[in-house]
Amino acid sequence: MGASSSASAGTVESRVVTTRLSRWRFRNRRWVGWLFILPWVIGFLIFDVLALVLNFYFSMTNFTVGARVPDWVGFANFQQAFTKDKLLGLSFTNTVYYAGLSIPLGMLVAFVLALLLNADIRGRGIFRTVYYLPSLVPAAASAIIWLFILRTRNGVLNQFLGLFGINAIPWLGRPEWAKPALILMSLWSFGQQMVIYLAGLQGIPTELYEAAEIDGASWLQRLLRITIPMMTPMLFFNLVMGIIGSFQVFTAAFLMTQGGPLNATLFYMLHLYNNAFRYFRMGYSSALAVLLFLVILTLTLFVNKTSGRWVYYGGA
Amino acid sequence: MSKKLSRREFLTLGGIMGLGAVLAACRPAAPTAAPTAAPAEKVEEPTEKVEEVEPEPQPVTETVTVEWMNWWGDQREALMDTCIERFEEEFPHIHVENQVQPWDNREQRAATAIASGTPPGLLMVTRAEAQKFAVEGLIVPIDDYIQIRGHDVYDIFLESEIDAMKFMDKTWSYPLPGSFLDNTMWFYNKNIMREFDMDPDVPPVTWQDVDTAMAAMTTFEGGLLETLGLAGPNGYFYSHIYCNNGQYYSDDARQLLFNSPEAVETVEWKVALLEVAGGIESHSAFFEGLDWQKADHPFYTNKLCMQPHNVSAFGHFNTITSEMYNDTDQWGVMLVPYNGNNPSAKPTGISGLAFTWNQVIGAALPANVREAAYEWLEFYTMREEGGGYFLLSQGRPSPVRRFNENPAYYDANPYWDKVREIMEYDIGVPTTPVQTEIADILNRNLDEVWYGMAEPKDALDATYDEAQPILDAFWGEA
Amino acid sequence: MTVSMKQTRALGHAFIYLIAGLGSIVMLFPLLWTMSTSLKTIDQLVVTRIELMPDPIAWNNYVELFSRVDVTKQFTNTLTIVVAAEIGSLLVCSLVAYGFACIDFPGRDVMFVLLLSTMMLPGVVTLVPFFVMWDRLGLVNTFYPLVIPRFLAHNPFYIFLMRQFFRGLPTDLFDSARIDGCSDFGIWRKIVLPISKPVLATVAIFTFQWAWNDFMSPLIYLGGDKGKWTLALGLNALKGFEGETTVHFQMAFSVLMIIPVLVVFALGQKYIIQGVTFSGIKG
Repeated sequence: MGASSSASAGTVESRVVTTRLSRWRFRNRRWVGWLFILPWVIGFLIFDVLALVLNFYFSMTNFTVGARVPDWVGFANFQQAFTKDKLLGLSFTNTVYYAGLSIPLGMLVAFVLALLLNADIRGRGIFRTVYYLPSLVPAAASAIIWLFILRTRNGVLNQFLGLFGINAIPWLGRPEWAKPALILMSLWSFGQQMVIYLAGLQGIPTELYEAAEIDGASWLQRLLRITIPMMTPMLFFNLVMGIIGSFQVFTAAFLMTQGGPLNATLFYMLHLYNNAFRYFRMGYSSALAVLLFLVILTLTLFVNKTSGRWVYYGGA
Repeated sequence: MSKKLSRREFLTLGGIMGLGAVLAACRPAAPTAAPTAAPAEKVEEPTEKVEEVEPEPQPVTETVTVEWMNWWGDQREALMDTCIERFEEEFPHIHVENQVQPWDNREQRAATAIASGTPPGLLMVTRAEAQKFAVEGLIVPIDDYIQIRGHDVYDIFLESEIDAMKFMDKTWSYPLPGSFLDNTMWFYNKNIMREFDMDPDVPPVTWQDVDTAMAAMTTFEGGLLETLGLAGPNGYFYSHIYCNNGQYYSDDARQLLFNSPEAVETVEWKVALLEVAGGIESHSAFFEGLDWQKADHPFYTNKLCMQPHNVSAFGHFNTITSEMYNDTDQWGVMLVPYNGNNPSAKPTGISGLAFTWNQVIGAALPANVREAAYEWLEFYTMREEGGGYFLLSQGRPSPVRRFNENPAYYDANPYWDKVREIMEYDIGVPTTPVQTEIADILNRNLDEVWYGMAEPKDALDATYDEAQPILDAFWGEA
Repeated sequence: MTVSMKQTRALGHAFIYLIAGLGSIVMLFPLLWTMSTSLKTIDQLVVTRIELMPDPIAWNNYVELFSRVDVTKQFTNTLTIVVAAEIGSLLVCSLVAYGFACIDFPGRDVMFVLLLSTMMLPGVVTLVPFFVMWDRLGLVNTFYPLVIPRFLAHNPFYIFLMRQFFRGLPTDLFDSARIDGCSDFGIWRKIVLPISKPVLATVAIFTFQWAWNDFMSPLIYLGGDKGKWTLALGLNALKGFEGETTVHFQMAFSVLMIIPVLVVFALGQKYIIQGVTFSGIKG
């Protein structure tokens, strides 16, 4: 009994059963759902709602270090953000640049590799481990490793490019190359995404492929008509997580470039961090956090809205 | 499942709070452990073995624990443990917990720690953080102790160092390791001077001498820097400005003065030097991946002449190449150059604008813990077997004047006399808690100058326009 | 299969080997460098040439590491947190994900958006207030601040992932089970879980990795008590701040930290590739 919908929706009787079933489903399933999500709801109320409320509250104060109650300033922080913050626009565009490139590239590379490593070749387990390995390296070690690789003079990457006759690129030395360097570095750890796609690929019933092969479909048609549509839930997942993640990009820039050169890698979160812990402007940082939240939320809602059209949930 | 957990959770919470209440009730009313007169002797004779002095008539029976949160990791941890051992021998009723922290996210760790209901007894923070915490009332000043014990802090410490511990007319800490000799002392390589027919016994004294040396000793090969006269011409702007009779802050710290004509002249001088080095990228490429702890740093390989330094450099130098380190024919120590064209300019070093560690005492602690923390602070910074030993073991000079006379330093360092001489050229500058922000703005604008995207005067003016309001806002509120 | 199909397949496989192989070099190089650095002595570290083969090979670095850092203690601490995290993820998160995916309850879509939105708020600013909260509860320097959120399925990433997977399962499964009178909990336990091995294995691997390498929370909540430090803290403490050269120890520690996660991945991998058969469930 596969998802090929051949068996169950056949006779009239089973259709009647299904309708009765759906009514029963509809009436009885209400509150059970809440029971299932209860643990998360509790955590949500304690931590997340509190976090949200605190953030919105602090964004309207001049909260600084310590635990005393700060003064209310209304929208002053937001006003300052839009009129006086010279780095706001820059940090935002830096982040958009980074997200705009790393999300699609990451998804593409991860997806392709997942397809390749899903094939029935020998040693695919080893390959998978190799590709997953980089995402295991702790961020601190990763920073040291990549600082070494990205060196201008005799850096590993430049030596590799030199094999193709490309001149040494000052990766972390020039503003225009710094972001591409970090994007490249982010691609290195696509292993996690790849594993998610692999799991998703396993969820596609083989009967579909068999049926298609019998019908004489080529590998390209199987890819486009079966694999990709059935993978859309996972593509949706990685897209949303990609948006949420890359708009909050922080660690690599913090450890490796501190926002330089010439603020080329000053990402929004780094700017926020500087304001919070170096300048002690927690209230202002909260305002920045709220702004980022709204941006990410809008984008995600947008993607979510359009998902009805391109995401195919094979079952429920 | 979640229900079971919340019951257990609840019981545990209740248990902890109950236990806490019981403990709190048990703590005796702290007798103000009177820091009486006797300790004054200890400071004057640091070389003698200290005899057990019991100034307090009341025997203190309960052990007070001081949490010492610091970032002196790895090998320094062992040194610190030795200091603590010695301290606890002398103060048996105080136990100091050495809480060494991981280095990353230091600021967040410090900020959460001080906000806690039980902050650490002694916390290591930057000068800006100390000032900020002071403004917020999160830490306590130590002036009372100074008064009661009768310490003449200007006699004990270098003036610039103890000044860096002051804010709002109160003292918040004693200095250790201090931030003097930050760019005041330059190393220079005699080998390369000889190679370019320059007199190794006459290092540059004025900016103009540096220009000459730079032009002579900077060469290129295949478009890349081969040898270099001066390392980091674009660095230490805040210090060089004083060598041209300029100032960063006004004396009352209310006015920024780094857009004065002297300052512009300073930047222009540095831009010219940078140009000789082929621009900032050429310079960066020359040093890429190399720092003072790498054996192929150009100074060690005789490809660099002048290198500004701070006090930790000696130790590393000795580790890398002890042979060169001990051979005074190969390298020397010189005083920072000043502008020879400006009759009012003198060589001056700045202490306290860059990284300065303060050790502060949390305000939310009970009185007896604060007292104990102070005892530890004093031992750790003022005593020869404490701070003196700590710094001596690392070959670093001490902010306590007297300790620098220790013959062990002379043995370990071929230029110790010169170092002590140069130390006297440092002056302290006042700063404010918004210093980090101002420094960031300044660096951002100066970066544009180094990359050739802005003129010195415009950059400094732009910095002033952006930074002065921030400073004004701070003083308006303070 | 015809001969030409076999040839196409063989060609396809060769192509895959080529790409995967080349990519592997890129993936592995940084790690080879890590391992090689971990086996160098200080003299070799202070030069900047790229030398992959240390000479001599300082296996002793690993031994010395154990005397510098209390690795065993930190290991057990990390394990405690990880076990709690795994229970939280596999049991509780999958329950919650099932609720979101397979039960149509009122307010579901709103709650789901709320779930996603919790990931969008940077936690930087709430760091201090949350710390103060746990501090007032007296739970700083305990494992509670790290473990409790995990038991409350406070991980939208895993919930979201599992929800996607569950929604992709064919509804016939649920229908046939319901006809047989199975409750939702029963369906979750007897049908969904067994079938969802790929995603469960994935989540188990990610949970392990993430809890294992977590640095911020242990730093803030356990930083004051060295006896409670996790491995991530121990690794970072090796840095020191004027860098006595400890890069080799840092790299050795990193290598040691990667091994358990690799093992978990290797084991979990089998479940990911096991594949799923939908047939044969309750007739």
